[in-house]
Amino acid sequence: MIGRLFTGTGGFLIDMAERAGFTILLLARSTRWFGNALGRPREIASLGYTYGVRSLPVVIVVAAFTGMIVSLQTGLALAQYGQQEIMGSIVAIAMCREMGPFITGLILTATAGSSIAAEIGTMNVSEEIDALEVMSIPPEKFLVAPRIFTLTLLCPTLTLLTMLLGICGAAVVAHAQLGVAYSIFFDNAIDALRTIDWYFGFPKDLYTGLFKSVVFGISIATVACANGLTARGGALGVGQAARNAVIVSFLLVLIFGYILTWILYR
Amino acid sequence: MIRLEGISTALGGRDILRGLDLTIRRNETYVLLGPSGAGKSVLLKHIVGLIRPDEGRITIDDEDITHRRGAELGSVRRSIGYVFQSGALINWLTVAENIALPMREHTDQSDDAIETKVQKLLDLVHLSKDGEKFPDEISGGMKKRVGIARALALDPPIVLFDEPTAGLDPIRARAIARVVGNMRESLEVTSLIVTHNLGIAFEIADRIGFLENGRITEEGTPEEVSASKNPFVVEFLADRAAGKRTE
Repeated sequence: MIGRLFTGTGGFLIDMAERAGFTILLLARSTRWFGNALGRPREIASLGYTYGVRSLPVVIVVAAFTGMIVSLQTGLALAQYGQQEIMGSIVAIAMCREMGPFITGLILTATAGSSIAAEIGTMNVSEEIDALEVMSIPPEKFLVAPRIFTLTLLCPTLTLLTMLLGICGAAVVAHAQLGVAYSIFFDNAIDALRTIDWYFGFPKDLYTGLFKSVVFGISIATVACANGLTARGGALGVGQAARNAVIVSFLLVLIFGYILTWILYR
Repeated sequence: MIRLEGISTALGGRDILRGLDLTIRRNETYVLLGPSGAGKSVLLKHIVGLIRPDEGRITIDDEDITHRRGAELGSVRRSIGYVFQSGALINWLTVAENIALPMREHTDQSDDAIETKVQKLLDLVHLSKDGEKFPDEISGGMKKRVGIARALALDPPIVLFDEPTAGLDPIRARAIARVVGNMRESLEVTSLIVTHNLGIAFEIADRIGFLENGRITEEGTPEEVSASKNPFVVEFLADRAAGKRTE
């Protein structure tokens, strides 16, 4: 019984290590094809439409409601002390530092990540990946690099949108529910972002939020591609690849989010 | 010439190939027969380096390719066309774009030259008017023919076919066989065909080999294998006769 437990745990850890190694190597091998992806703007635009534009409705709704919820919760607490006017500062910092990249990362994991893993997984089990290899077309060049490149651009773009919509949603709630004037809300929001360091013309909070989202975009695309490329066993394997991609990407968004916050704000 | 010497391969703890020896001569059409799960497709994948043998040696025109990787393997692969059982077409590319893909990736030909070549290949596989369709819009037999056209895009001297007629009705299977036959006459390629379709095997093969228990247990011209006393071959031919009676 105990022996079986050790064997099972050991097997699981070895499998995890192998998958992690494959994913890191896949990213390393794909970076050499980024230049090639840059030279295929039509393909990047098409992928951007598939993974980005189609995720827009979810991004808009989730971003706006997140801002509204944050605004309502903090506003009600601050109102007890008559401090509801500083809500703009709190919401702006929260959306730019954490909520914007985090929410966008989770949405893209659920939409683009699962879609990429299922798409490449299906290609894998239907021998299309083998066909590419036989034609001497590396999957890293044809499939992986364009997807990583697209999500690397897409994630910060959608994050910026999430930040803006979240702050706007929060402003609406602050005004409608707690009587904070729009001008006061936005003045406080801009002042809060201004008071911290500026880098390359951006407030640090915005800059770090976008940097996080770049890391999230790379992680989500790489994990999804790696799971797709290792999918085995027909439809069941494809489903498993999509599920694994979502789980691992969720965890990586959380872990990288924490590590980057620790590095950038300690 | 393709030569496999002493190839042994185990997959998932099961011995698939056990010291297999096989030689395919230049410009020959060699048909490989054997029961399902015998390792016929595995054998094809060895030749293009998708699977590596545990033991043995694979040579193409006396060049050892057994352990080649990366760019060295790439140059070998470009000299081999591979027709997958399902066609293995890229879903978001049209039929014409699928056929053009190897040319766009590996040659400096102009768009016009590629388009002309694609049209020629579409004519060869009798799909002249289907270039703009997507794989989802064509039948299984058409996908296989597109797969053949794509395999021929770089004018490879060797073409490997994995079950080119599997899952097709007799009329479509014969259409594929005609394409393979025409290809042999007009393009002078060396072909290795894995199939279960005995009728087509005997129609297009220069030589036929039988894969049993991980080895080639019988090979020869269609006439020679028809006269074989090997019980395994006799059983196969009996099936063929039974198949003809039921047709």
